[in-house]
Amino acid sequence: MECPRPSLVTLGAGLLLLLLPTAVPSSADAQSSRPDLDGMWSDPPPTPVDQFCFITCTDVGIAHLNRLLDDPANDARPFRELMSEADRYQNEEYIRPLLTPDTAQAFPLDPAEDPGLLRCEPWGFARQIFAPHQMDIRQFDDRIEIRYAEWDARRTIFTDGRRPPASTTTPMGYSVGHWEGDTLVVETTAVTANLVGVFPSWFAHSDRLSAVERYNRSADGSRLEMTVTMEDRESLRQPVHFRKAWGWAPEEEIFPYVDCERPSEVRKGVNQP
Amino acid sequence: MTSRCTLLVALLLPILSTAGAAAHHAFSPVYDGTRTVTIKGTVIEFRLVNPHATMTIDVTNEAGVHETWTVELAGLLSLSRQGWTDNTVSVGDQLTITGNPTHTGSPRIAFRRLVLPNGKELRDPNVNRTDAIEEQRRQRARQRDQAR
Repeated sequence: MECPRPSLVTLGAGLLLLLLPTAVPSSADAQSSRPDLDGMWSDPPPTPVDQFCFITCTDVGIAHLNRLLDDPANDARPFRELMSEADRYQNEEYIRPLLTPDTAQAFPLDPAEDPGLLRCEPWGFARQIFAPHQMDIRQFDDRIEIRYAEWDARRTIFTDGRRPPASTTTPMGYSVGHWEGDTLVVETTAVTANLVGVFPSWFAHSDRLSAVERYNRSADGSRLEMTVTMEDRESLRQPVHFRKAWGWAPEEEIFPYVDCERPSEVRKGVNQP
Repeated sequence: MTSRCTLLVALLLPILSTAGAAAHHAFSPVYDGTRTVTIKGTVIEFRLVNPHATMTIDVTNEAGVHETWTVELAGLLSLSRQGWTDNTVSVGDQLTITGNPTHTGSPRIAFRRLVLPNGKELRDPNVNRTDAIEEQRRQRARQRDQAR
């Protein structure tokens, strides 16, 4: 019995059927299950905790701030006083014990030593991810691009499965990302030695720093939360965990950074927040 | 430096900067957050830019000598959120501006609030955030007290 010759259309349809089972789940289905982080994020609406975490904070610091807020004895004290007290507690009870002796000795760094202030030197990765104000996220099939308003800094997170190359360090490091359910997980290495965090909880890190950021968008879409774990055998005895949040801000925009002025006068040892 | 400025040796006021809210660097190495100064003068220049907007003000001191003061404000991104534009302040405007002085007493202040020629008061964006937070604290305290 002779089989009928398949037409080109039939062959094409067959090929499509063969290809679809592998193509669809790996792109369309997976893509549709990922939360959409695309767009503009910015400072969340002011609340006591989010103001405390305006740059970044830790769970230990938040817990202490809440204890202070819940104590009637503090009702008449200005919020900034409570925030400074929570900062000190966070520094001394959580961050300092995690630091290596040399790093702890200089912790927290004097704000007058800030290279961003003194020399208009843009922040490195471990400061930039805590930058306040706008953060514009653009998701592509193979990468995510982030632009931060502070310093007009940019970074790329590769999501195409590549591994970081063994290359020289750069200020923003090399970031690769993947999705774990609704969570964007970003691993960053190859960061040039610089500073972790922003005054008043900051310390120097080496070029062995590695970081894992985890981003989650809230169910109502209005909030983006990040937790980050940093490790660095030269500055940290154990991993340190920070957190930060942004609010959805599609009406906001990023303006250029045009004029960073170097101060003609700074005073060391003034630790007012 | 003698100038027509009122030095208000104030205790830390809740209107002063809150940690972290001051954009790209700490405020304390340059400015004294425990004191405020008020200057009156004429706007020579207003630059609404990032990372910090600036105003240059011509102030006539008590001896009748003109001094040029610099006012450092929040950046364009924070001020624009509060409705500031390039035209919010114009060259030639007579302003009364309150801010934190430098540690060295140089003619420079960190902006806290100003009064426009029409009497309208403009405040540092951080002040508005702080006000909102203090109101939430009061509500939280009331709820706590009612729960007892």
